[in-house]
Amino acid sequence: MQLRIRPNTSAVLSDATLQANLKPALEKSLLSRDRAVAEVSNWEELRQHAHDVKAHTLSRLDHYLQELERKVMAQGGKVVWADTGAEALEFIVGLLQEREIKKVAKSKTMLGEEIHLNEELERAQFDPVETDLGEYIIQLSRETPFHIVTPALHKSKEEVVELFGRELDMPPTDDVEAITATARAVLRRHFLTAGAGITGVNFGVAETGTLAVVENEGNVRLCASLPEVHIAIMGIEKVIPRARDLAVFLKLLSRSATGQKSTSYVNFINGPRREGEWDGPREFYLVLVDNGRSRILADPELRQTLACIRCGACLNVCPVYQRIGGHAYGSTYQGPIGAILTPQLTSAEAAPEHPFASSLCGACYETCPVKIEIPHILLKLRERVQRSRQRLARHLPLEAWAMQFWAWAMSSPNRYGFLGNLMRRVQPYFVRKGRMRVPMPPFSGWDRYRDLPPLPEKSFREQFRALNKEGK
Amino acid sequence: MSRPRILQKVRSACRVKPPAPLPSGYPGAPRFQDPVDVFRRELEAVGGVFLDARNRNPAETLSQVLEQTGHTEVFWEEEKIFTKHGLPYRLRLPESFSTPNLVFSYHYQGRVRLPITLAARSIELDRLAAIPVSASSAAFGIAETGTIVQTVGPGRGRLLNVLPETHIVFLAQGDLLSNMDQLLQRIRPGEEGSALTLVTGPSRTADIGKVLVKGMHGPRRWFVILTEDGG
Amino acid sequence: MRVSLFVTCLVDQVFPQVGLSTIRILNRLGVEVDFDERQACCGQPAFNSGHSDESRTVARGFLEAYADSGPVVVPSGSCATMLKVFVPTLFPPDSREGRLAREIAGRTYELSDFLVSVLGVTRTGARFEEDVTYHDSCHQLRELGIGRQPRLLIQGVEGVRFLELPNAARCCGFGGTFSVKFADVSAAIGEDKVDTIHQSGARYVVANDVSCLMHIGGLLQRRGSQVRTLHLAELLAKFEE
Repeated sequence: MQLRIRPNTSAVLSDATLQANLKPALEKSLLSRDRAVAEVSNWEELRQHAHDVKAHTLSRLDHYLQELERKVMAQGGKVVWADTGAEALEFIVGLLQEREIKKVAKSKTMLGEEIHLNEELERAQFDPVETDLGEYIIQLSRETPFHIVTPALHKSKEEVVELFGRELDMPPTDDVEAITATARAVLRRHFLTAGAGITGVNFGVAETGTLAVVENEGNVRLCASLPEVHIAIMGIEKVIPRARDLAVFLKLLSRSATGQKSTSYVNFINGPRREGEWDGPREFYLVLVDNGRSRILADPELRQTLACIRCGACLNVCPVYQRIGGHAYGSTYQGPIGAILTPQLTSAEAAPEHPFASSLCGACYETCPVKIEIPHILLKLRERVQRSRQRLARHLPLEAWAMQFWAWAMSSPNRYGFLGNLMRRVQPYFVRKGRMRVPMPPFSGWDRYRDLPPLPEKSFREQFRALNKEGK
Repeated sequence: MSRPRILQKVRSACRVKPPAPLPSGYPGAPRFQDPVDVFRRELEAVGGVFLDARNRNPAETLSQVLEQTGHTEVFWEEEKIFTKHGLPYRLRLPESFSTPNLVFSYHYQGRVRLPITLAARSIELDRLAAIPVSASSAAFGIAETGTIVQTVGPGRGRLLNVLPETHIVFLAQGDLLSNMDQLLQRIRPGEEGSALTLVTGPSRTADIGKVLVKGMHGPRRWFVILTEDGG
Repeated sequence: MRVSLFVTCLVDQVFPQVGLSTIRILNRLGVEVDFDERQACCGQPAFNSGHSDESRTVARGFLEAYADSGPVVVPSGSCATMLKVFVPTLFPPDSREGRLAREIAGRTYELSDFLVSVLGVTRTGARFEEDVTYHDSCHQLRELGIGRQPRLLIQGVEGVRFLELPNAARCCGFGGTFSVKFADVSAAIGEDKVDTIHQSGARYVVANDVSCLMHIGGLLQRRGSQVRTLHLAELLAKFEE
């Protein structure tokens, strides 16, 4: 299956409600992020540190994964390695069956989305309940997250009221507090009857076996404390070496993601409940998921993609995301990070448009708290898409043909000059009311939205020549 | 089954580039002359309520909170609160706290009075989830972000701090640090208990229309009472 | 001083006045300007679309033309970025071309940076009694870090009332081939830019890339706006000889 973006853009651009919800929400995110970052005098130093720590960890990932495993096991946790999403699902389903657990309380995890955890659990007759309010809204409306951090960003209050009215029999209200209270009550009942909690992991600390999970609502605390079984799923790239690095990463993450100095809760989880502790899960599992990550790791140019801490700041700042939102990408990860991650987790052929859905403005790199060179990675991926297109196509694709012709013309001053003059000759046939109208791509795409200026009578070089003659 | 395969793939993937060095130092973090002032400001900015009981009887401050919230019961689970923060109950019923379970105190008309009846009792999950007010003692506070550090250990659990709508944390002045880096130099996560939580303000969400609402899953009202050291 | 002008293909073919203005400014400041007719394009359109072989072919032509030149001045932030940042990555670092590309990159300057940082000039003697705003083109600002220089130069123009553009650093949506591959998205982003330009109250929007200006100008014109686009060089050359 091929993931495409272009067929989706015109619908989202003309969706007035979506456009009206999207812009103010993102402006708000941008403003609070900028404010929170401006307060930190050594932001650049923090970014560089995080970047360097990630680069180091990735370069010795095998070592740190084993250390993390050792530490988690020493604390009474169990560690499961899953090569693919399917393997992770197989383990989780098997465990739930064995423990005769039906209901699962879930906190927000992008990895869960990536491996389609909910669908799979539902298919296997389990009852997964998303407990992050935004994710719960998404689950009830049977959608996918619109944004890495704020999954229901696109939903207006009115849409949520309608949804909760339909799904939860909530009486109509205008009061966000009342809507939230309804969700709290419903989800609390689910929490108390769930047999297992599944959470994601933001950072896995090799040194101490600590899994750090950030959140604002308290649902991660509950997922990791109430049910008898806690399953944490973690991409293998999420490991960091030392506990002290957490101070740096957490500062970067919270300020970048939501503009908070700290999220309301940062959970450090070190295995299941211990002797003498009142509560907490009896069993703790850490599922380490590869699902294509080791392939990305093996690519020296693209490896840095794995440094991502999923803060979502690149989405907020991206002019393309600001206009088309998350669903148009058709993939689990959206925006600039989605544009580079999706083709790498799948293949250049599976997501051929993702690397091109960017103006290469570089705002994503500028904002990225771990300094991932997203624009440069996009360029590398574009190259790969073109290669694979040419390899797979029976005939030379039109664009490739055009580029070869262009290169042929541009690499010889004579050909270049000749073609310039030729264009000037034929141009009068295409100029209407002072603007160029050429009814073929790429000009037609341009002309649909903007005027194209006609070529001047004489090129620069001709005028320069004339000037020089005068001068002499 | 997959462990050796993944490790093998990771190992050979790592080799495509020479290893990058691990930074030996750590970036600096702000230190404050008067951390209490910063702590108060940050905590209030995130919607918490700060109460300074350094020059007052902590029991009186607690009474105030109960009065304000209209409650007469508080649930506790650790002796530390009483010993560390100068609450006088321990003198009365020390044996209550050695019983391995939750402690519940009833305050007539919301006023903390002595002597007081403390009951140690076993509590079912449903009952626990219905508790309106709980109190705990913070291991540390972090001024830079207005954060409280809550630990789990023998005689302390994870749930009592998060389930109720109202939570009261006692923090001793001497446990107030400037920043998180200091915390991570002092403690090693996982050494004391199976979980540690950094709490910054009430539970919150902004998932509906970007409107901030407190008390999504955890406490809606969140009080921090600062006490003198060794009170 | 003697510099070599890399005029860019778009200026050469579509906006010659930008190249002529650049020469006028430099001459007035006592800098002699060479123009090598072997030049064509920097290779950027192919490079940005993932056609690196074609890009390399074209970039090779550039390297040959400028192998022995003096400082190279480019009246475009994005082409200067291509020459300074990306062309060197197209060739093996140890090859002759790789070394040459790095060497030329080191002596290639975007126009405003050349004027301010090399010549130490913020006034070209231009005079323009209008309300003017400035749009930061993305590559110039974020790859080359040049945002201060053009503002200094604009403010150095006599009579200009400089109005800062809201979100000046936000992309205009052009993005090279993105402007036709995702034409609708590109135009939608551009509409936001046009809105802020109108908000600024300026009569002229200045930028240092004719490509962005062609996109912004095309949208302004389609909307029937009174606001006009102006390349930085055109503004700075508004003086009497």
